[in-house]
Amino acid sequence: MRGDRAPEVLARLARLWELCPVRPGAQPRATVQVVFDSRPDVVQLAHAAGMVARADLEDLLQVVTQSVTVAAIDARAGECLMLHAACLADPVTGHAAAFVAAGGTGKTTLVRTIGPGRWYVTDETTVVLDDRTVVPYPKPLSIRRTPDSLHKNETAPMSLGLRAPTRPVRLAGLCLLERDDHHEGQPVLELLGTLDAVVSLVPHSSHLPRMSRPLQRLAALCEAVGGVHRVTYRDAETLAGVVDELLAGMPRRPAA
Amino acid sequence: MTANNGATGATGGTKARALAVDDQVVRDGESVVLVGQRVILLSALATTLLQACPDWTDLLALTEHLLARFGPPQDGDAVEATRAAVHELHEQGLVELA
Repeated sequence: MRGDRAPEVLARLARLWELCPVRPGAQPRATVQVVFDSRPDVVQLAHAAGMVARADLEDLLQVVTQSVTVAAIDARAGECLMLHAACLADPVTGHAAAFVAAGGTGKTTLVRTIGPGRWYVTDETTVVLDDRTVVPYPKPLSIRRTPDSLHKNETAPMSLGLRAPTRPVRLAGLCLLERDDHHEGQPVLELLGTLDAVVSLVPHSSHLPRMSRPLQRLAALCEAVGGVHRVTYRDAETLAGVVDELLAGMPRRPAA
Repeated sequence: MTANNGATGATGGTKARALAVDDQVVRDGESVVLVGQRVILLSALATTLLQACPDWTDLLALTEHLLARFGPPQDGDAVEATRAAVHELHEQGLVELA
């Protein structure tokens, strides 16, 4: 972190990333270089050199979040399954449910809407180990400044009533989110066969080919959680029941 | 029915051999394979075909194998149907031909 305005960034980062504290003795595995400076030429040079540098603090914080996420994903390439998915967990059981979706199609909204009262594991990247333990990544939430804006404001999870897991969580449910603006009524669940699930999940995974036996691992995970459901819905608040069922490990088709 | 029943053309001496894939999952006869960065979903027939040629295998032998497993094709002849399936696998980079 460099630049004459770096203290402003550090002050904001502390709050934004409060649910991702550095573990004692942890060694850094990835580095993101950030420059925030009042001099435009310094910012431009840093940007040209591949560093995270912006003239506007909110813009910078958004790119910092993205860059940290990419760096963390790249650092763990080949080690574990990483799905582009939001994840919530039950504070009582430690069961976690992951919601796979492309960027901008509902993950953060789901977390904001359904997350309070549950454990916030991540709204971006669900990291799953072979024993189904989920590595929490409760990053700041990137929330659009206006509904159609490309720019987002980084938001501290606790300011939205979200809490991070305080003990290990284990994946119990996995689904693909399909937000459909024309969908009416309650969410519709469709259980996918293992192969269809694998094919559907691969585009939402990171560095999968770097792993050994990646498809077999993915298939085993799908089957271990009772299969992957495709959930078609319109409004995030209607997903509460689905979330509870997934966390209980027994999703069912909602009544018509 | 044998492989050359209904065959209208020569086999052309085609032989096929499965190429190595990076990973494969088989369920209920169908499969999904990983080749480099590509993930390919294979039908039961394609999966069977791929499994039937770990070494260089003649088109007629492959046709016999498919006939034993799936019976005769509804349209066309068995050899040509097998040839077409083999070429599809070849285009996907899953078999090599000789």
